[in-house]
Amino acid sequence: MTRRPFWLLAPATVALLFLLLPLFGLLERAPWRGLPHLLGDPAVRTALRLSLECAAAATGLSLLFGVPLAWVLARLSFPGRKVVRALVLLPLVLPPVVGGVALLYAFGRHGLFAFDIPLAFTTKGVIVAETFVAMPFLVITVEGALASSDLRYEEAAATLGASAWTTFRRVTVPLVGPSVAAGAVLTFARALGEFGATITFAGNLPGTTQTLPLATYIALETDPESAIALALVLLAASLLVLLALRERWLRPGIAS
Amino acid sequence: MSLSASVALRRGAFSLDVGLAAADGEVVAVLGPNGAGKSTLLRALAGLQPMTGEVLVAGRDVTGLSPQRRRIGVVFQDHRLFPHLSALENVAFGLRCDGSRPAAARAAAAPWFPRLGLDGLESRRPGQLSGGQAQRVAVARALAVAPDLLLLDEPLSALDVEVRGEVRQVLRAALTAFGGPALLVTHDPLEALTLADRLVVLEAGRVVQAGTPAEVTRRPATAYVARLVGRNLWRGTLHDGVLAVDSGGEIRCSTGAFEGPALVSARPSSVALFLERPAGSSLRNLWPGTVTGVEVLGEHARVSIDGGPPVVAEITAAAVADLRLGAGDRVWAGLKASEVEAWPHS
Repeated sequence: MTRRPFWLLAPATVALLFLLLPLFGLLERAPWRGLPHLLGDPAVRTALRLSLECAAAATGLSLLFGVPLAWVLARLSFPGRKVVRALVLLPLVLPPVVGGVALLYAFGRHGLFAFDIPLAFTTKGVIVAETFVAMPFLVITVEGALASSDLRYEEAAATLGASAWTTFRRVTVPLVGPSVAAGAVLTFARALGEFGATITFAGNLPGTTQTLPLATYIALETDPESAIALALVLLAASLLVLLALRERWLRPGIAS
Repeated sequence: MSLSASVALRRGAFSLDVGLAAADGEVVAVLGPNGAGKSTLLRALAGLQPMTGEVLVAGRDVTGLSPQRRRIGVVFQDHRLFPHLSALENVAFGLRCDGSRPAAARAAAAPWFPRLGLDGLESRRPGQLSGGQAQRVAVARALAVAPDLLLLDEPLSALDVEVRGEVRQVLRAALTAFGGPALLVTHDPLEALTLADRLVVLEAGRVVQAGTPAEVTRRPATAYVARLVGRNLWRGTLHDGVLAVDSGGEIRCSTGAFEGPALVSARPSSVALFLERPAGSSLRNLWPGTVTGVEVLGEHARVSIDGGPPVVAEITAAAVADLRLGAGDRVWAGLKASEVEAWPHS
């Protein structure tokens, strides 16, 4: 029997309480009785719908562009690959506000790459900001899975006459399917909670760019009860994400 | 000739330089020790390994083509069935790549299951199949697209010994029905002798011997082949019916049919063992030596003896027990000249 350093339990307990107590505070102050009424408020429902739509769109864009990017990083070798990889992961560590400012000077009205379609301070801008911040979650998850999945199945597919595209679609992607799903859930959760980049790049216009986190923050000043209600919705969404990942993440190999 | 290939490649200190041919319906086994380049050769033919040279399959030059366009089927040692597809979908995979609709591909894949004794396993995932079943599905998957050439990379070596024989029989029937040329890479002589029409022995990236199983078994060209087929082999110079063995000692042969460099071979069962020098023996080859190993295989035992020309004697396991033979024991080895076969070797 090895001796265990039981004194570690004390700081561990402090850490656990520190993480859980704010949630208890939130639940304790929740106006449970008035909750249906508060959530039925058209302004809240608008913010909720906008949040879900934008987060879903950001997840879709991340899948569309992030999975190929993950494949490039995992499977192709080219000079500067490590630098590219570091740059892709930058939004993970970048303060979201900085991301928002950067987006503004890149894609804003007077930005370097200003398009004919206005992005800043529009719903599309919300999606852009959320994608910018959340896509790296998908890229690193899928890249990790691709890097560790070996090439033996892809070789077998090639000898059966599968083109590179068929192999990618029918072998590579299904094999990393659970990781793609886990990455998508993470991306969705990150996009749903996005605050800094969104408010900087897209602003805080109710009905157009005011997502749930923004609405929660604003409501805290004027109507604390509805702020708590909105926070509960976001908390519920986060718990759902945890549940979804528990199912998906721990069961590799089988998809479709 | 439906396969005709010359393959050359270099990987670090290892180099491979091999010419190969196989006719339609012919099964050629590529035998060799580990590291001889067998699997590398097979991967090069399939297009999975860069090489120089030429690969002609069914009269088509596929040298510059990607694996996808070669029409060469491969059965890998580790079946490599797609884990996310059912057995049936695995067999249908190649047909779908050929452009068949999903339903048509599955319909064409279905008859392979009874053919290979896989009835009722169509909807299983690879993870739910035994090793032998999975390898049979892999054979079906490779054959379903009717490739111009079939390559098998140690198809039985990953299987348990109990199921190996059963899968070997199924494989034999499938290869007979296939009709195209097939190349079987193996280091198991039993696999090669039971499945192949012709053997090609590869050592250190070069072909050291090629021929029918009977030819190779009777006249092994190298020590590896001799050990593989269980024969004694000595290399040396024959003069006046006596072989001066390169590594020392001499072997008397029955006739002095030719002179010069020669290979001389004898079956282990024709070597007699004695604890003392036999008196008044007519044996023309008789030399003392030391037992270096005893290997019991069922009712028989193989005794390796060093001291004179290295030799393996096969005696009954009962005789080993009677003589109390063990490593380090001094014995006399005897061999009749009439049991020795000699042939010229350049």
